[in-house]
Amino acid sequence: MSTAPTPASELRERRLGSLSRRLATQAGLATAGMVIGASLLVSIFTAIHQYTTVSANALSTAQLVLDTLSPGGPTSATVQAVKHDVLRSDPQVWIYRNGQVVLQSTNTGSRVPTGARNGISLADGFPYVRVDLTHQNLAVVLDYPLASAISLVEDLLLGIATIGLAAAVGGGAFGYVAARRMLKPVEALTEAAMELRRSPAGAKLPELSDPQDEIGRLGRVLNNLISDLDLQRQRDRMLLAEAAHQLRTPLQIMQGNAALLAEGTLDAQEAQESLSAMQQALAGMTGLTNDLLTLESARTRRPEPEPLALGPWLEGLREDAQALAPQLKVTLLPPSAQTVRVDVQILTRAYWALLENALHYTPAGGRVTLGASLLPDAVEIYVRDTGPGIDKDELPFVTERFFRGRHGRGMKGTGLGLPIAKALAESLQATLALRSAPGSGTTATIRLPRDA
Amino acid sequence: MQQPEPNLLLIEDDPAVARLVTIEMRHAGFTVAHQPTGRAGLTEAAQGQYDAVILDLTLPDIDGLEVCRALRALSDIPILMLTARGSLPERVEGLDAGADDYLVKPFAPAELVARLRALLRRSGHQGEHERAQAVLDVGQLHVDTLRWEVSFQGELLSLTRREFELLRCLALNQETVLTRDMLLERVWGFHYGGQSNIVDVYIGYLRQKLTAVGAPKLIETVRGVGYRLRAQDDHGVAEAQAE
Repeated sequence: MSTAPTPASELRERRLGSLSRRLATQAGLATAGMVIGASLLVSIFTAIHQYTTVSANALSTAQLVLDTLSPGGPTSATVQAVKHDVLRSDPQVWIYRNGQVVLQSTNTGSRVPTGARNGISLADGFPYVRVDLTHQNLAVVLDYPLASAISLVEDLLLGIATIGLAAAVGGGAFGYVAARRMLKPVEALTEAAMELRRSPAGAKLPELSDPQDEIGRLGRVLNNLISDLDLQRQRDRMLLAEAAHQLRTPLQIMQGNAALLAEGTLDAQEAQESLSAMQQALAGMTGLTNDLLTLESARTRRPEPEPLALGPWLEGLREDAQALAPQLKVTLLPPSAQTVRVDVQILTRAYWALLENALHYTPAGGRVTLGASLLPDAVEIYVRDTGPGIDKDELPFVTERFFRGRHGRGMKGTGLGLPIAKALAESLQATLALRSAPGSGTTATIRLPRDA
Repeated sequence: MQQPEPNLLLIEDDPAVARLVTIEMRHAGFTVAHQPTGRAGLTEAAQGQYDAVILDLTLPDIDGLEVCRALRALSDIPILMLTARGSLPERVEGLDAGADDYLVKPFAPAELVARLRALLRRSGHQGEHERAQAVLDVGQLHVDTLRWEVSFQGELLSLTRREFELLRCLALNQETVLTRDMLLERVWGFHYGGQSNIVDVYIGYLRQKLTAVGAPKLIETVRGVGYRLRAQDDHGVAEAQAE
């Protein structure tokens, strides 16, 4: 699990860099969109402006024609003036008198104005703005071509398309570069994490960017996670190693005695001794296995709370403790707490481990006191002894698996009693507290939150 | 005790465990038929005449719990379940599936024999009858479970709660060997864990108190197995006749 080779898929994934590509595409599209949008707005305003200008030109030209002709009708002089001033230029003009065309500009060819009198029309496929002015019996129809205005807008649109494309490419490139730059620490983190998978325990991710920025924080959080997991792994390994180690002695006894029995040279008395040694070794191994399974179950088992009357429960335990340790005085202080809702099996197992410890370490004639007190937010169930106490320097370690203090050397037991009490208490959302001063005994307390 | 040998069906896939159980059962006076799979076991149970079934929880073909439910649907034959998983939820699951008792590996062969004997005895009508009784008489010993009183030859014994419950459990199962684990389950209701000899300690106290009223041999130690309450206390009978 710890040193799996980097799978090929993971390597391929690294090359893909899909996040930077996505960012590049998005940046490109966004830039292009913005540029095109702005340009389109400009085009629309330009088109409107062009139309207004053309319309105004058309109107003033038509007015000029009418004004030139009006005083005396189309005389040769006025016609000459109109021809000179107007008809040479772009607009197509028709002059009516009494509804008859009397004059039309040469660029109209044979065309006669049809359709709407004012506004934009099409003639021979060319758009123009038409103005129709009438004064007495004279009328002027003027078609002012839009082609140049349109070509201007067209040019503008083409420019926009070009600029948009450039913007898309530029934006994309910028996005890609920016994304690569931003993601560089992430990629480095990925590389480091992949490297970590192949490296031994205890390795950490290097600091890859400013520790205060987002990625720096991610790195720190990951490093904390790695430390936690490492610690857990180390503890599990130690547990496993220690458990295996503790099995060696009983296994040795089993192996040796089995070999002796197989030889068949033992007399009846010796054979009996061998057998009982084997049975004792088996009992030890079974006890250790059960303790390990209990520790494991504390992690996985879900408590099933039920109401528990503390008084009778503690009295039963007191009686059992007294029965097991007649050399001690085991007493129960009247509990101030009445009932709790708790998984009785788990609580009993945890509390009994504490009680067993107290019975174990208290010298003959000593006193062991059981009790429970009600606090505003918790119920404390304690066992107090007059044993040798736990030395200050050992206090933090006594709930570690297989730890054995100075006073516990050479005692029997698996060394898992307090760790089991702690793990089981924690599985009930409770805490285990040990208060001790050398020479004045120990108080072990399970503090059970109320309504938990 | 010239009864026909009880006929057992063992459903267990591990040949080493099966061999051990079979040998131990034969020594204890049972006849044993062995089937290595759930399917074969169920077929055999449906066809043969068996007094009890020993069922392993992990079988290669069908889950042991399923086999147990199927067996239970078939008849009320006593079922003892064997398993390597001993945590409480699994115990409850096993009992819910219809098992009558539950034994966690590794177990002493004698434990299995004692539990089977207790099961067979309970499944007989005589055992059922006794369970319902409020007053139990074992020879000269009188246990009143309603008034929580015990007397021997009319003389009252002063017992603590646990002592009384232990004696009542033994009296309920008189003439049957109860192992320490069985007594722990029935009297205490939970395992304290560790390797405490609490049952032996209480048996010691009970014996002291029984000796004080003249019944020193009422509780018999069955070496390597457990304890048995006997009505035929030679010593006590002799005394009773003398009176």
